[in-house]
Amino acid sequence: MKLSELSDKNTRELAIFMVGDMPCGLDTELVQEIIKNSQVTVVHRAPKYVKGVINLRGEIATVIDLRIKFNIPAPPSSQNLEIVVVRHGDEAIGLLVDHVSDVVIANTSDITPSPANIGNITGTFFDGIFAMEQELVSVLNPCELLKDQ
Amino acid sequence: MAIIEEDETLLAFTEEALEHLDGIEADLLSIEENGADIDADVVNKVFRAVHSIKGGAGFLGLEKVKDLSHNGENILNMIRNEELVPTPAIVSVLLASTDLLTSMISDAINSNDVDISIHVNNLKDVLKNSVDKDDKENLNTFLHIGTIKTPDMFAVNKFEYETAQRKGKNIFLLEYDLIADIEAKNKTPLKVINELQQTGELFDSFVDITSVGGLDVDPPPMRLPLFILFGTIMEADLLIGFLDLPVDQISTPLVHEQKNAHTPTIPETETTPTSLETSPIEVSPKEHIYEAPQEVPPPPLPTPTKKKKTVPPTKPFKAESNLRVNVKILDNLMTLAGELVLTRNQLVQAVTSKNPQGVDTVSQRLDLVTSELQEAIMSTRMQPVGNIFNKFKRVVRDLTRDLGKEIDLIIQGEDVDLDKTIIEAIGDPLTHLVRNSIDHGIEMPDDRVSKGKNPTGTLRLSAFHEGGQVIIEIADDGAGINIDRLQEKSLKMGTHNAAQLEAMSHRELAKLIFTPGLSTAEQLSDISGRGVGMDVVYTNLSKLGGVIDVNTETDIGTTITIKLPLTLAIIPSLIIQTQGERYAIPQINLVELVRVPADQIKNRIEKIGSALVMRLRGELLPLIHLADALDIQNKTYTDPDTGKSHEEKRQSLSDRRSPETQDLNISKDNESQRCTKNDRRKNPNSAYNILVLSSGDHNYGLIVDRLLDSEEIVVKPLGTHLRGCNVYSGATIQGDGAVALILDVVSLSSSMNLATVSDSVKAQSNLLHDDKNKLGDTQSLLIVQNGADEQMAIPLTLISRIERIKSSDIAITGGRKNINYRNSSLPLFSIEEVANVSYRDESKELCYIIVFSICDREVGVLMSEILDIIETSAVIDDITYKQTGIIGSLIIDDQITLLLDMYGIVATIMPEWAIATQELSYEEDDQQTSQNILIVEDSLFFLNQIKTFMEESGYMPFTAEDGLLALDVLAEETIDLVITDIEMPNMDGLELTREIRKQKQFAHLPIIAVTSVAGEAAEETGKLAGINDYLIKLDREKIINQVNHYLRN
Repeated sequence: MKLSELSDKNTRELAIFMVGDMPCGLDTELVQEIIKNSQVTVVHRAPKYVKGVINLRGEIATVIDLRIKFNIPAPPSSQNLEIVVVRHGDEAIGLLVDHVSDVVIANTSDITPSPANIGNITGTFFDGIFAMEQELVSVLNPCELLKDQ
Repeated sequence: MAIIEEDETLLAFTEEALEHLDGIEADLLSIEENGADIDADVVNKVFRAVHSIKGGAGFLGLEKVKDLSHNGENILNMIRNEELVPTPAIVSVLLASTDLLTSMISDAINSNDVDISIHVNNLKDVLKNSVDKDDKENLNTFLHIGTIKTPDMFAVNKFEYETAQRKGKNIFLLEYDLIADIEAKNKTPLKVINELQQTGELFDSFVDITSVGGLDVDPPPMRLPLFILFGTIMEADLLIGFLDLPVDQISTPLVHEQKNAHTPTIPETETTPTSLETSPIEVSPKEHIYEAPQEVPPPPLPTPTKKKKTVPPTKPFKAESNLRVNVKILDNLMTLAGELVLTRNQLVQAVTSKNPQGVDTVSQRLDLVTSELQEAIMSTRMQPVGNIFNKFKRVVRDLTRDLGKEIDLIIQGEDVDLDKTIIEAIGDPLTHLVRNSIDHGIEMPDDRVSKGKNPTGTLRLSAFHEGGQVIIEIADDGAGINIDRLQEKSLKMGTHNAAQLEAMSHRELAKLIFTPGLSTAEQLSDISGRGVGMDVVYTNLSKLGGVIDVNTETDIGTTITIKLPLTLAIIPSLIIQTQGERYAIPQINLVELVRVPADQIKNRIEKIGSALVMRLRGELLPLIHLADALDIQNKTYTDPDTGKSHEEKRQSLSDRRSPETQDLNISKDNESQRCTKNDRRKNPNSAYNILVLSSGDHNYGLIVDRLLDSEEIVVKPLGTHLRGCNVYSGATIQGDGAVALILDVVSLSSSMNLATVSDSVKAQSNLLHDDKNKLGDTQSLLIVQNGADEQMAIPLTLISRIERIKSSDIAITGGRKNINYRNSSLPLFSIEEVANVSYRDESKELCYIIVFSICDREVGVLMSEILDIIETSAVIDDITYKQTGIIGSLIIDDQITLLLDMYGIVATIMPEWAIATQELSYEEDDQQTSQNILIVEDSLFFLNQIKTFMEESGYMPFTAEDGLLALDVLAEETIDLVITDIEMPNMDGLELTREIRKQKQFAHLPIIAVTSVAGEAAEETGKLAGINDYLIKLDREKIINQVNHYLRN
């Protein structure tokens, strides 16, 4: 059975990825694609959380480092990071994550509102907390996360 | 009755209407110009345009648009019939109305909310004042026309109705069924209306929605009648054949009169677009004056329902998002697209068959096709700049009328094409500049007459291509910008201090008008104040990559020059590398590239205050390191020997060599020792690559690690998160797929505060210049080397060009060296042939020839090395080293440099060439008594030089060391000609010329200025002061020729 057939109003399809040690989720309909090993061009004098820009088939996409956004110490540079590309308004924005692990169907009832802050990260970045069998997944709120500061 | 058709029809209407309106303005202006002498074609054209707008608007329910165009049409009709002379006042009313029409149609959906009463009244007044009494009455009378069922369908002005009848027009009421007569026949209502308008006069149209009813009515309605009141000279039977309409749908309308009535008011609810579902439900049987009203509707037919779904037109649309493209270009694009597909197939084939040769061919072909495709697509975006220029006819007309000035507008180069986006973006800045020129530049006619100028001012707008750019000039012959006032204001506002202003050139001072908040206008007018908003003009044009320049002369005029790139989408740029990262810099900002070899860095780059500067041809140029400007952390440098990267340890690049650094002063003795080591600064790769960039009002140098390539790049915008970093103007994708950021040269400079640095540097360098000026003039010299370690200099202005040749190409014919050059033989000379200097190393593969002309012949002097071009004011010693071929010597960079006498070298070796010129001048002299020439020159060296020239030519020279002394000599002696230097103490050459010209007896005394550095600007000011000719010092031939010329005439 396909995942899409399972999903209805009461469920949300979430892409699960790791940012540091923190599992995060994002609605799959927001995710345009996931790319690996893309060459990121550093943009000096940009906001700290901007990792750089990439060439997304002729479009210039800004890459946001979620680790920096969430104040998680930078990973070892050798690690192969993945970029989750989301559409935000007219532009494509890449979210730099450690690795994308899974796509799951979450019952909306299993997603609880997020606390004021998770660890030391502002709670507004999250839509809620989804309890998976093993761990707690923080569901991202892309509007707040991708807001231009 | 308000119906807004679906977007498509409305869009077609607005597009067409705007196109009509676009032309109307120019036509109205030409109608005004012709006055009573009416050009029927032009008036007809405007009339038809307005008429068709009226027709379309009426159909679409744009009542206000219809009303306004209708009233305008009436006036145009009278002009057309020569019942009204188009005075400027009338044309003004018409222009104002078309303006309003344009804005209403651009926002058609809200046009019914616009208040048009003032304009309509103005138009009506014009009409009232020009018709006779009877008609005046008729103007206020409305005829109500309609069918029996709906007698008030139309309200038509009796005057118009009767005018039409008087002209033999029959008036019919046509009833179209939108469904059966129009849609079923593949027509559109607008098309029908247009067709009708071509054969007659359309008074009004009316769509009877009420007859349709709602969707819940059974049977569903299948008629949507469109009533048109139509006047034509055709008889009824003829019309039937013409219209393709059933006979029973053509009728004579019922007319009844109603005095002083207003246009029948339409229920408010219906003026706003409403969907059919909410309109009054009433199944109205087909109604016709010739038919029985009881008739039952025919059985329901399967009718398209699409028509009845009136989408509430809430989303705003923009007419300008459409672009008209020549079909030829489209065809061409199609062909190229086909080519591209073909090429792809070939490429796929070549790759699969692993045929490297095939790939080569295909890649070449691909290159060709893509560049052609690029060009073709670009051409769809290109628009003539005349689209904007012609709008200024109106601006100029209106402003001159308001201000009471007289101005001729000259437009040149309307055909020059520019990218659509640029055309759109330069409209406002240009308008501002034009308004400025009219308001503040050109004086009132009386003032102009008192200044001895033509009372009618001239404003010239021109566009032309130059070096891959488009130049737009706005030139007026007005009062010019008051520079003194600008300086005063600038001081008062504290934007610049006195020293900075002192250091600025005339041109730079004029550019102060672009300083925010600066205005010289004594009273700010509502039109413009030079300065108010000029800064906005400047920033807007800079954003486009435009460069703006001002040239102004008191009472002569102001010319503003704008250089614009052809397009913004694809720009030629230089790709550079710093810290391993690639960046693109638009070529338009690039002035030159300078490479400073590692061993010269010490001499050429230094620190003034905290700023780094470089000496470039005697000027100081502020420098920044790109890595510093971009705040690149963890800098690395690449070891030139190993190619490995290391962490950069020094804090800033001036640290290691700045003479100010203490550590260096102490270790000066060690310097040579250190240099002998295999130090990386001795490696050629550690030279500095400096890009000299222009950021509009000043230049600066950008130090980068490597220069990579010159490329045409496609500009892509950066995301919202990067909007704050204005040092980038976008990004581009490189051949390898990587992203390179495009640097914004202007923002880069302002983010590093280089403008202020540049000012202070300029003040500094001016101080240096002042020092130099005390000693004498600056000379531009080419520093060359012939034999080893012997430095020589040649005045740059004497040189025609420099060529690099292979030593093996030098031939010896008849004992003389020469080289075949451009199909003729160029004689070559060497300095060692005449002077006692060290010999050129002839075994070297390459050498240089300095080409100059003497006695109308081109000759070359051989040199082994070209070292530099410098500007120096060092004193020339004309005794110590003087010998044949050498005029004197001077010290440059602590080295004795011999100043070559190019003329002397040739004259010694080929005396007959030189004699030829001398004899010529002697011959002339024989016929005249010896003439007196006054030479005014503060530098003893040049004074002696020119004196010798004159003596050799048989003239009697008198000398003076400055302007004041020269005036004394003039008073005592009879002088036939004056040769003067420009830069002199006490009284300079310009001042002297003005003084001389003041005395009547000297009004025609020839005055020749000699200078070391010629420049067009300087020449212009010289000529204005009254100097006859501008020559180069040491250019013996020209000086003698011109002296001969002036004395003969």
